[in-house]
Amino acid sequence: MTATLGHIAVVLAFLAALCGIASPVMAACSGQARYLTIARYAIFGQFILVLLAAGALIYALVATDFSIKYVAFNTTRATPIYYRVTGLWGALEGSLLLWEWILIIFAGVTAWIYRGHHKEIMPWTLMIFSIVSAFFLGVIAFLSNPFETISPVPLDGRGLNPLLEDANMMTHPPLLYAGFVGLTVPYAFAMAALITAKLDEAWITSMRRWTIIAWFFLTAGNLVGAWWSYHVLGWGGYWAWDPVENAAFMPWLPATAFLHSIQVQERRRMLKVWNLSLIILAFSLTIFGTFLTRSGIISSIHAFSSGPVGGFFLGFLAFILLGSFGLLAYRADMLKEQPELDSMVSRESAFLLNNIVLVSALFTIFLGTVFPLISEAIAGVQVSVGAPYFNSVTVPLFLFMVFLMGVGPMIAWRRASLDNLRRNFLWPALGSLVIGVVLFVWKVKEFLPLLGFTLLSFVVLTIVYDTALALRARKCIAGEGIFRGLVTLARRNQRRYGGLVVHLGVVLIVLGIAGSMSYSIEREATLALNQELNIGNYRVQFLGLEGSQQPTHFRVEGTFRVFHNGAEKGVLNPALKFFPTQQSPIGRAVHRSTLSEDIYLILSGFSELDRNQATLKALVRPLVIWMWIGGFVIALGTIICIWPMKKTELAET
Amino acid sequence: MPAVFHRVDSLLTLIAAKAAIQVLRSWTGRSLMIVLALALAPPLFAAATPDLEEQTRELAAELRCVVCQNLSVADSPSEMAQQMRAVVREQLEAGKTPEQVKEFFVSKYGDWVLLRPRMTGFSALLWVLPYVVLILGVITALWFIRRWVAAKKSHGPVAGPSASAQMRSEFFKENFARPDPEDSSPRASLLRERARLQDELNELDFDFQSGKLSDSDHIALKQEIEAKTVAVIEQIHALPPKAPAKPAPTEKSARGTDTAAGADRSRLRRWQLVTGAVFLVVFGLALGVMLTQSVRPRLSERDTMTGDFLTGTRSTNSTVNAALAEGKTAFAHREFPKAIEAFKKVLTADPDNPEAHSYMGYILLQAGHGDGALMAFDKALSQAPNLPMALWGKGMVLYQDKQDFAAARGIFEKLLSLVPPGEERNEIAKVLAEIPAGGAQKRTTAAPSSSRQISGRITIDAKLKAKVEPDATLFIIARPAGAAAGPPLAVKKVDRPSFPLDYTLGQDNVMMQGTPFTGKISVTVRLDNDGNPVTRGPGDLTGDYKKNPVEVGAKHVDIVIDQLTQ
Amino acid sequence: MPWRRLVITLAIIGPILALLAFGFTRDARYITSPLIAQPAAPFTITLFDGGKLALEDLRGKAVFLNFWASWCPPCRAEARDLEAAWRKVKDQNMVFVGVALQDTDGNSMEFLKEFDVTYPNGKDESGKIAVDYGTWGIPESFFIDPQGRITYKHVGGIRAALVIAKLEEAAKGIVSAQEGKGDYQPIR
Repeated sequence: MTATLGHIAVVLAFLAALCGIASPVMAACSGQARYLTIARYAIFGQFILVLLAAGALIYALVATDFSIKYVAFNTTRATPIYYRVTGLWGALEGSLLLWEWILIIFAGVTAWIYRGHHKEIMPWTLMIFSIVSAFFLGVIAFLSNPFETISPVPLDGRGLNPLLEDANMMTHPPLLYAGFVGLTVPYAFAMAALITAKLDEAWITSMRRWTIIAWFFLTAGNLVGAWWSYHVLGWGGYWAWDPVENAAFMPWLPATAFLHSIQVQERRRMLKVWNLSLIILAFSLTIFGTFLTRSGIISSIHAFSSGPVGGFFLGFLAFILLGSFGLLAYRADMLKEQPELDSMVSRESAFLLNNIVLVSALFTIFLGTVFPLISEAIAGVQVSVGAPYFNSVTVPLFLFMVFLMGVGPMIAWRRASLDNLRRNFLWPALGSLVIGVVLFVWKVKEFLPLLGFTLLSFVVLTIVYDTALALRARKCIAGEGIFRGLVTLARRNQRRYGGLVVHLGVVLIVLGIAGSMSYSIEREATLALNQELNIGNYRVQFLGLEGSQQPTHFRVEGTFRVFHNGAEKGVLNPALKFFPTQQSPIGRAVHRSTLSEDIYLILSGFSELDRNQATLKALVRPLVIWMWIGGFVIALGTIICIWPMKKTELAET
Repeated sequence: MPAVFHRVDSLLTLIAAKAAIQVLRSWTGRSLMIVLALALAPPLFAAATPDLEEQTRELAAELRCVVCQNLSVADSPSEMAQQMRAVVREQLEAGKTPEQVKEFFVSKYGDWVLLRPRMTGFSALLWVLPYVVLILGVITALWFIRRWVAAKKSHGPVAGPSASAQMRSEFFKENFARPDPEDSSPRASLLRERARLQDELNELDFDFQSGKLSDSDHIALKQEIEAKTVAVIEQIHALPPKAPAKPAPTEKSARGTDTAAGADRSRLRRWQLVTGAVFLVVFGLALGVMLTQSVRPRLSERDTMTGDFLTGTRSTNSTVNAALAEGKTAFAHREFPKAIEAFKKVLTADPDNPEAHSYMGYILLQAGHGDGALMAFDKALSQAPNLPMALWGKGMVLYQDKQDFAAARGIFEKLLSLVPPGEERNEIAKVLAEIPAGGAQKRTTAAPSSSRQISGRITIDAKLKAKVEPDATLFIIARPAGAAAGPPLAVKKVDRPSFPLDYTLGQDNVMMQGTPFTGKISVTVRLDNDGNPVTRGPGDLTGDYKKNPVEVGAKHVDIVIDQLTQ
Repeated sequence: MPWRRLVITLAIIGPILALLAFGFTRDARYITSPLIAQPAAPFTITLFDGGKLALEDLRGKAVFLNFWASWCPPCRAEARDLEAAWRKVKDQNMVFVGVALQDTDGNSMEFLKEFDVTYPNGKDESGKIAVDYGTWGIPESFFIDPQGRITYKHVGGIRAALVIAKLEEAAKGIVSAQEGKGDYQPIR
């Protein structure tokens, strides 16, 4: 019953999406406005139907209705209820339904918010939504159907992939998908503007705000993924440059570039084609990402089992790329601009450089990800492109980015006077050099980490210095103290100060990455009872093993006491989980974080015969916690950026 | 090993011991033992020099684990990665350089095993292109910037304002509302331009206050912006006086004094109604049709009501299921050729279908092909290791055909653990108990054990003695108790019998090779004149054992032929 | 119509799409072996029924080397085929050698008994033999010619007919052009 209901809902939603595609076209052909409302109703109809379908699947999962194949393959009777719900996106079919659900939520919200506005482009915007939605609904309805039934009905299900039984499963995929899907909104607006040739200013504001929201979700989704990898997966790392991870990161780059270059467009009315290209690129990369994950053409630890859908995703990707860039090429003439700049030293130039570096990084990561295919196709040689390559090649690019992050806010729009520049940069530059020397003397002898830390301190100092100057100005003008001044600054220049806070957050993340990449220590040893392992400033003492039967697995936990500089810091329990369906046990590492470093323990193995022996792998990773702190700072900055403020005459938009 | 766990030091040890035994028994226990084997086998890590460890780890981080996806050998927890690490350590200890060790692995796995692609050959592109793109990008950007700056210079400075200073300040005080973003009239775009210029001015002031602009730049730029603002305001004033502002008509806010608008609205509402009605009708129809087609009566307690229509079965699936069902019914009716055909159809569509393999196994078993049956059951079990039917079949083959009792017992015990309590379980337990203890026996051609036969005497009723034809054939027929029709379980043919006749009917008389001659049977006897056991012509003499059904193993199953077929 | 721009767009996007489509034509997890036509790495194994077997001793005969494990379903599916093939070519100048990977002695011996395997089987103690032969999936089968060169590699389950055919080729020293592929699973 549930299966039939869900499937019918999806099929009907697909039909509604087809209507939503047809109606603006019919309106354009026949010239009658009434067709345009059908587009909106189509979106609302899809919203209700997809909600119904998702609800049906969640109900089936929670009620362990094993007559549905998806439920039988992804839950068992013993699975706790919250993992049954996350089973909705645990496998291919359900994840497509999740994508569609989030897409239609975004579409519905867009349709509702703008129901009285942007009259001329909204129907086309909704048509683009319907096109994307129709594709996903078509795949769900006819190709990879989560409501497929299975006969005979099994007594118990196969269960969720044990790696996915984790609290982060509840946050990481929905956040990440929200980021991907969120990029559909500016894309839809951009395409609608191109189709209707309404390429003036009005749509920019809408696009920008949606892009910030999507960018935020994308950042949060990637960071939660890194956290999950670090915290749970037990190899001590947070980013493996796995093809699917790259695919999730790649849309972030053009989105960030867009958020910067759109400011140039707003002020100088140039770079329109470039900005549209960035948005199309960002959206295409999300489709590319979902294609990569589901087609199996590149082996990845995140890949879903490849079904027949891969080919269709490639077809859709081709349609999007050719259609969007083709339309852009066709309409490029209508984007009349007279680009001119006042000076080579200006924030506009800095933003242009920023864009170049971001797009180069995008190119690098894309090339690395698909290079195995290229090599096999052209040279016939099978190669692997792994973390060592990406780390080597992207680090210089990202260091350059950090430098630009420091330089950008200090330069004025239009024309920066060189002597002011000298004055503004002198103090932060000197300060960062001093910090660099101190670091060198103390510990940091290698070139790249030293450069990294120096640049990071440079950025922090520029932000602090810039804010200090502005506060001084506020004091001179309005006599406001520091806190009052900060609040006023933030209120009046929301985007600017939100952006600076986001930059601070990025600095913290880069700090964490730099520290952990350069100064990690690793030791592995087989310890007898009460034997100790020395690593860095820590001593780890093995206290014993304990086995216990959990609802879904058998768990062997090791108890280790940790000493730091002689003082006892507590007891950690890394574990190995044995699942009946898995060939090898799944490790559950634990770590103890402080502001300066994490000690990370992995139970690699143990002796079955002798409960008093265990193999321990210990890692000391400095500064990792700053990555997660940086994530929160970015969230704060984004909130400052998009917090709805009353628009006064004197405030910037 | 159990002895170790009989040490009872503490409750904890006992609990852990019980858990460990369970684990050992289970499949995961074996993987544990493998982990053990590999954790203990290599020399203790602490003994090696730290330098070697570092080197090993660094090198392992450059090699790709061949079983995991995209992990390095250093990070991978898999067994193969441990083995590879051991090989790396060994080679480093033997004095090889890291390059040589990498080359060794490349000679075995190809360039694929290197996580850092080579810098020579085709992969050199990978190292060169990113920097090329970056440098080209920067150069292009700088070129464009220079061009744009030159464009600005060539346009010349903006003309000074024509109005006087006083008029200018009045212009700035003039309060223009921000226009509706929808509005695309020229007035609105001019207003937007004016607002934008105002924002630019504010930003300029802010930048100046923050000290980013020099005084001269500030004044120069401010003049420029002010000049542009004045020009825009003049243009606004130059426009014809605007009509009283008509807010953009939304569907809700258009209150109709306008009859045209009203008519439009009512037409719109009609359209909405029609669309809604169409949707509802289609939805209802779809729901009705599909539900009735897909709902079917439950076939069993574990079955559900929803069926196969639309909810997932595609043509291949349905033909497989149909053929499977066909084969099963044919098998139940003992129409083996038809069953074989149907199962072959299943296997062409789905070559690994365990059920089809199991049934084929049974059919082969009936036909006496023990080896073929065993292969078929193994194929079935390789796909579905716990399929009860295949296990039962394999057990029977091993027991009956191969006489491999130990293996058969193992299989039956496994089956016993899988099947829930009930009739089937009792059946399995019975067979299990039957298997004689001891190891596998070579297949003997000795006489079957006495428990597998019946014996007795056949006599002819005095009244019918005269009706006996000299060249009649005697058929002794045993059928499973209760089965009146269908092929018999065992048949013995005796040519030119002389009565009274002592007979035995045993395992080697069964019709289908491999079918056990056990259980309750009913025995009949026929003296057939034309020698064809199938036909029953007039003149045939028959007799039934009066105390049918009888248990196999019984002696003195004496039958009197006392009926004459008319 | 701005043809030039459209053509440039197509020229950039087209090859990328073609590349991605090419991705469908291969198995992403498959590692092509560089070992074909290379000399087979020497090894010595302790057989399950006692005794040792060194690969060098088999010089002069065509060798079929099979890596397997008891927990691997494709190995189980091919076991009887291999035994049948062995029985057929027993008296020719050919040898079958099985090497158990990542397995315990008990399970391996049970496996051999279950499938009534009569050709020599041993165990890869340390995993070095697996690395020497570039093993990444099981079952994997290598065909070695009398001069000790690998002529063919087959990843996955192999049928008796193919075994015999390739052995005959190996005996003649014919090196196959391509690897073969059957139903396999990755090793642990």
